[in-house]
Amino acid sequence: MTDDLAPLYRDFGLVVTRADASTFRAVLDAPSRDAFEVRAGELRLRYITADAADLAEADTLTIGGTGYTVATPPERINDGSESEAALVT
Amino acid sequence: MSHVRQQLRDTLAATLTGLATTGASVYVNRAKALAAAQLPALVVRVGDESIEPLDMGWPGTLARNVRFDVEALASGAAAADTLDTVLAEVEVALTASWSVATLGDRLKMPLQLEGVEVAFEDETNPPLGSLIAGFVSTYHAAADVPGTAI
Repeated sequence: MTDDLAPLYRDFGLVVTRADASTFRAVLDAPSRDAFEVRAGELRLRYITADAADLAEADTLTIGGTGYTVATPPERINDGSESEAALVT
Repeated sequence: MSHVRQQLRDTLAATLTGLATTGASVYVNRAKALAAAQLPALVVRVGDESIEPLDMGWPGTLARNVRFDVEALASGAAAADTLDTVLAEVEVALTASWSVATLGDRLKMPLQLEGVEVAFEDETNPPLGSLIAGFVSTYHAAADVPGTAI
């Protein structure tokens, strides 16, 4: 499954740089999200789990020159070969 | 004349306008979403009432026990601190005097803080927090003159 995903992330993913300068590719979605009747945003980073298996809450990342922090523990999705993490700027 | 509920709500909102943290960002019964950039803010709501007759006459006089919700909204990593600061400012403002605490002498007893509910959402960007301070009190009005507190 991961082999099938790799070309997808290679073509559509953004380069994510971790604090230790290592990189992986991920898709960053930024839809609106409401909470408490407040319209805020949501930043969800989707990536191949094996590419950043130790990504954790509070890790800092850089994507396209912008700094982000992992807001919550990443969660595995689908069959677990991909994960998602909420980010904050 | 507006209903006493509206008078109470507007007086409460006016009293809470200009606080150090929330400033002019005070909204009354707002149904539309606020933008995160508008925070910190307060949302004032007049809620449910339980009503009891005070006499056997008709139309009679009613004792109306009413709940007020003052919701503080804040964003960012320090949202919890901001919410607690706003709560302190609200509590101080609403106990400034007897007249203030009875919303222009319309209430039979000063606003009583009944409870505080706090919630956070950490998957939004920025993170959001909500603190609802629930106040209760009572006003009296003739059943056929709901626009005048007596």
